[in-house]
Amino acid sequence: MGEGILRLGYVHIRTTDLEASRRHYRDVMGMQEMASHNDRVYFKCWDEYDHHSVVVQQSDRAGLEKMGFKIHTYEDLDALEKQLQQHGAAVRRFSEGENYKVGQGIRFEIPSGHVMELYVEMERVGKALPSLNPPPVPDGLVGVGAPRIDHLLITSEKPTETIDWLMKALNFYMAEKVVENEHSEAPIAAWLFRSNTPHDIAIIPGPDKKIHHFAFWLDDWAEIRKAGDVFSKNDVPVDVGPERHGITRGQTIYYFDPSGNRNEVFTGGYIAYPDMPVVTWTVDQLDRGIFYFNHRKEWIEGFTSNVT
Amino acid sequence: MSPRLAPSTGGPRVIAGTRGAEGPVRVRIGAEVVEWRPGETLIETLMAHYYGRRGRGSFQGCRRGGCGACKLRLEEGVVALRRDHSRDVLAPEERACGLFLACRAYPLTDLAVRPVARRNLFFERYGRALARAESVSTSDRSSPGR
Repeated sequence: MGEGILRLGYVHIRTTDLEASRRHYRDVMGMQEMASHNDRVYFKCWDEYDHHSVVVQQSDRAGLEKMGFKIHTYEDLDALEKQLQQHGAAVRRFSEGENYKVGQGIRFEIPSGHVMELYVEMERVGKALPSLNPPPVPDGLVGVGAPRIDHLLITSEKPTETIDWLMKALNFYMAEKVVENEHSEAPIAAWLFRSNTPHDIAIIPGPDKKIHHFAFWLDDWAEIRKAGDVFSKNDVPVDVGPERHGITRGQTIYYFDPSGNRNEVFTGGYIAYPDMPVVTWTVDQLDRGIFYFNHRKEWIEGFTSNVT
Repeated sequence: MSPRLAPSTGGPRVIAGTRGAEGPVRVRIGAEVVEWRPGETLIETLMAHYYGRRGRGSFQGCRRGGCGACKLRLEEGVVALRRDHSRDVLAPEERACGLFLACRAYPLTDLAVRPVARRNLFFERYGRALARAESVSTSDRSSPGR
């Protein structure tokens, strides 16, 4: 038995303009285009070593096609399959190669209708750096030059149930939650992790099956500023930021890809351990929780309601 | 490939297209009239002259055809609508009824438009708590140690 879910492995999104999305993820985000065939393009970041972390697919809709989480061992996969079934999930096995460069795994819907896949292996292509005596950064980074993806945030019509299910069926740990007031327990929103970051996946109220954003990690606050330069130079529509999150203590810019899927560049936060006390936010402090520098106390309504 | 100028009669129409009129047009929204200029999407015009002004909130949306925040109802005139928008936020039937996305649209004639009200599940579900939060947040924030 290994450790179960290791991390968010891939985000597979839809676009209404594949060529514009290719330019965005390759030339603005600085991802490496790994493969392109039919209606899909596969990308990876420079510090990632599996074949891809973002799949972009041509469609007549924007949004999240599915998300993939990497599992430590095949024993873990079998155990999680049973556990998912015990929690009512209709689990289907997929074979090696059904997902390009991805080994066998399982596919199911979580209670909010999002499609999730678990897999153990993806073709290893290595980082853009050698493993032996590497320099800290590769040459020739383009645009933002993000080293890796970090997390995603989805919306659910019944967030409390979805959060509870993710923790029970997939052993996610809770780093932070939002409750209605200091006397209430049930999470309205939550930031869940399996790795050592404050969130691999987060859930907020909203329509089922929708994605609020997925995030790229950057190394520090100065890199966030540099990303802002790149976004403005390239007319990338920025949503909010640069800002500071109360929740997770991250630093951020939110922006949109060419079909309106929200992206984030994110840094900071803290190391999350499974035994860490859960950080709780009450709704009356949520404006600061979301954007800590928001002294105008604006409720940025579009930020919570606009999803794809 | 100059755009076909639609007749001013015949009712509002949303047609497929990627460019607008060859000269400036007037866009009436609510009680105001703003000027659209060739090269702009309609949301760029509205962000420059309408939203965030005279007490109105700033425009918050993706500007890339994905979120639907810029959905308008066309009351008069003809607009060209690009194809690259999400059918989740503007279905073909809606388009046939005169709805369109300002971020993917270029006027072909003078227009009259009206914003479309949107649902916000977060507010519908937690509006009471949020309203209460607004009334207490000032005193909470002034307490020492925050």
